[in-house]
Amino acid sequence: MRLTSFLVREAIIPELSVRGNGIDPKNPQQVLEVKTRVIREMAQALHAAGYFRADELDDIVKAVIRREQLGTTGIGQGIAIPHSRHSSVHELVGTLALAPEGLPFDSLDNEPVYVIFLLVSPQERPGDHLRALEAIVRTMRDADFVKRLRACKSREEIWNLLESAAPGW
Amino acid sequence: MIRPQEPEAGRWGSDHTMTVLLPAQGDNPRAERAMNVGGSSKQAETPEDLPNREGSHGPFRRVVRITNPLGLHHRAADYFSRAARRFSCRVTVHNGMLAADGKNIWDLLGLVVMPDQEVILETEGPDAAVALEHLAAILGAPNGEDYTI
Repeated sequence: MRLTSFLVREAIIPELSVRGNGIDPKNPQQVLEVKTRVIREMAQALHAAGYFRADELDDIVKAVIRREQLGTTGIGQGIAIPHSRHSSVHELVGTLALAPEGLPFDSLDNEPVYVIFLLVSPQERPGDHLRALEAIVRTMRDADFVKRLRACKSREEIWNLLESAAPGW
Repeated sequence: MIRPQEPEAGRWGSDHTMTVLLPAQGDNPRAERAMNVGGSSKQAETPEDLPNREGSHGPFRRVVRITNPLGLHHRAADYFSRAARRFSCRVTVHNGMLAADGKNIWDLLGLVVMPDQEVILETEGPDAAVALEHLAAILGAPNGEDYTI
């Protein structure tokens, strides 16, 4: 699976409006607030691209946050993959956002995150979700690729770079 | 790091068991035993509570069926890798020709283990025997909420 097969081009966010200034990364409540704002901004971008109804947005954000509270999806090396299953989608959709200054995300390595993938999956399609996770970790293991991704300033730059990534499973 | 790898020791039986090579048993340095497919569902103790089984070494292997309906997904892989890191032995999960460091969530997510798929869990080191039991139970658990650590 390629990243571009499930990421929605129009929903990519080259620079999140959320900032981590003044946030204590060791304060769980403050970190949760940051996560919620990030996930809401990304879900809103998918909605604007035509993927959810407005009245489904709150529920999707809540579902992703509920999942996040079971264990962080900040997997280290500056990457986070917040995700959830939700009945509003019939196929896996996702988006990508960059946080150039880094955001606290309770990551496994306790470092800020700079690249965030939001995935929303149908209730009964675990295979697609697993293949999407594989595509993300495979691509993000390439430190040079991540460096180039973080340097991108526009949606088009990001998309072109993602299209250059090798297909996996 | 994920690398193509063929499990060296072990063969399938017609009764859905896999025969694995175990370490020295008396005079027989490579005694064979049949082990049941699937992880134990018993509640495991914490690794600190478990005996070291005389400095076991291995490699020990067990076939585990993934009963989690979501497969080896993010949270399950996270639980597993955290548990594996509490042991000093090497922990490897094989899925076909791919092998993953069981202590690394990035590696585990790269395996793409589907629901009802079988993987081979391999441990090798001073606490390998205990780790095999403990980690097989986690890997074979039906869902994340059942994990005990």
